[in-house]
Amino acid sequence: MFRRAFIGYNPLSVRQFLERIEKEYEKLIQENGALLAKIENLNQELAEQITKLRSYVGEATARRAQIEQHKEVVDRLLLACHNWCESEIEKIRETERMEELSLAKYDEDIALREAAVENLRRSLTEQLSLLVDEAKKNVDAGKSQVQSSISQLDAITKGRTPVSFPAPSNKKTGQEVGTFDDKEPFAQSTGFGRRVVTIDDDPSICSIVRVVMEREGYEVEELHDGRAAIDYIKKNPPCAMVIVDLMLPFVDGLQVVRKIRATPGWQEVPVIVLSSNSSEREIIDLFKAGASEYMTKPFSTLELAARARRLLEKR
Amino acid sequence: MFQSLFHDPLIRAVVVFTGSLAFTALATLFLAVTWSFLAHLKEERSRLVQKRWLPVLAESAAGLPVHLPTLGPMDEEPFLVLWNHFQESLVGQARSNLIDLGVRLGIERKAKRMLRARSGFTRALAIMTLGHLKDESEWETIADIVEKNESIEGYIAAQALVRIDPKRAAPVVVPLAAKRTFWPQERVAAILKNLGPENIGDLLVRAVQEAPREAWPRLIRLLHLSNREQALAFVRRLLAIEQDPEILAACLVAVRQLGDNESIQAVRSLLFHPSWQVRVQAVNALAVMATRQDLDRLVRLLSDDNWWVRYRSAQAIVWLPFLKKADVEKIRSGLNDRYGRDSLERSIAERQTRDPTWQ
Repeated sequence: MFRRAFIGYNPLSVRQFLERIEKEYEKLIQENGALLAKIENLNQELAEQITKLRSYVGEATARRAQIEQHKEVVDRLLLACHNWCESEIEKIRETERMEELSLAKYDEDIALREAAVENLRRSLTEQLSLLVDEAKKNVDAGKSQVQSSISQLDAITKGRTPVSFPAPSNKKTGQEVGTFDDKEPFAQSTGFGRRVVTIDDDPSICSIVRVVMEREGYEVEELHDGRAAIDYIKKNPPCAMVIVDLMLPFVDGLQVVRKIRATPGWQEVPVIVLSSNSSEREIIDLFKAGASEYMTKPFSTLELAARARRLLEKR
Repeated sequence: MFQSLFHDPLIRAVVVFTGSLAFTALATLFLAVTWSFLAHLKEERSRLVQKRWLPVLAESAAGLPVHLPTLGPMDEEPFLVLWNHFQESLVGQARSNLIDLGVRLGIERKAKRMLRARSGFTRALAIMTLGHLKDESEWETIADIVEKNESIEGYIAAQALVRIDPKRAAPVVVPLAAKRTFWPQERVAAILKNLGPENIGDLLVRAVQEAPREAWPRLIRLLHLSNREQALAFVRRLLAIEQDPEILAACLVAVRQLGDNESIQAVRSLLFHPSWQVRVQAVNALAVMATRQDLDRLVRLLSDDNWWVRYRSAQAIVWLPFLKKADVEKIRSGLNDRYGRDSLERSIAERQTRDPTWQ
């Protein structure tokens, strides 16, 4: 059978064929080895990934447990807050009830006091009218006395010397009534507010302005930057006068002047601007913004007082 | 074992080096802490002095009778700082009142003592105090400091001389304005302003002429503080003959500062000078004296190559008193040059911001 199988075949070519098969076989073995190595690597990677995944799962489980714990704590806190708020609301309601009661009491009290004030006013009015009547009588009597004295004096002097009478005086103080003391603070003779605001970052300037204006009879409020000045203008009623430095921290004096002129109620407030070094154009801008007076530093205290007095007289 | 290790020269060197390094670090730390503590103490002292003396000084300046607290030796310096600050902030009777207060406290004696101190700050404070007190007894010492000391102390001394006696100080101080090139221009101008044109006379013009030419531009810019007639004559002569652009630019600044309308022809002739510094200053000078016939020149300069010239020309046009906003808008719409139009638009916007009522 073998002989028949090999009939017609060249033994040399069969050998070559076998060798080729052998080579193919070796090649296949090599490829198989490489594939096995790859599979081994992939297996290792897979094992690593599985390990990592397991650790992630572990971490996630631990975090979940933590979150659960935190949630419980938060729930407890929320509950505590809710309870506290409830109790506080209850307290506030209680306070409101008490306040309502006390307000009612206050209302009663106020009504009683108003009645008392009304009574007092009536009695005072009556007393005053009595006093006025008495004073009128006294004045009439005085007038007739004076007339008689004048006629007597005229009779004595026969019109040679003019007669002068001393001004009527307050019996208690001895001061003349109806005359003004030259050194009387100006603020006492005006009906406007007694508050002057000085805005300067230099405390020495503020203290000088304070002394000058207090001497004029005003209360002085000191502010040290432009931002504070803007806040003050927003939150407070208008004052008698503002004395502001041009160079201020945060917001400059020009902006402060503009704010004053733009704030209802403050438009008429006189503003004196103090500045150490300003250009011609800056001064023009200041007056356009609404500054009433401009003074350069160094300044005279007497001049400041005079300018302030003049501006306040205008009002 | 350690002894044998220490015999090794390398280890010994390392130990010595490390030890000295540690000692230096500790010493530096100690010095820093001490310095900081002393600075804090000084600041606290200054604050206390301010709290105690501020109302006293303010009341005294306003002429009110005051009860004087005791001035301790430690309080002298901060008090003098405050007293000098008040002197700088006030004029007139208030200054005299403060001098009276100073005399009552005997600060002239303290200042004379401090004049010989080692600390520069103390000496400067003493000089300033003597200047405000107008105390002539230390004139020679202060004049000597002015001559020899080129630093801020010299400047303070010059200012003190001017305060003590401006007439006597002028020949000492004015030539220094030319020599002390590193004193800030504003400070020099402040001294000259305190001297007054009546005391400066022709001293500044002479100082300019005697100074090296590179100092001229700086000094010419100060001429408006000296005698007007002499300054004008000098500036006009320079405008006619000078070629140096820097000097010409300075002369144009002086023309503007002096308000010399008679130099308008010279200013017009320099509007198209090759140097842009001269053109800018010519435009600035013309801005304050321009008439309607200068409008065309200013409009032409809106197309100048230099940004500053265009910008200043636009500003000059916008602020011309005889032009209304509509006129300026008309000029802007008639401009073909894009850069000139931009400059004018910017200046219009600037004026609108500064002056919202401009129509």
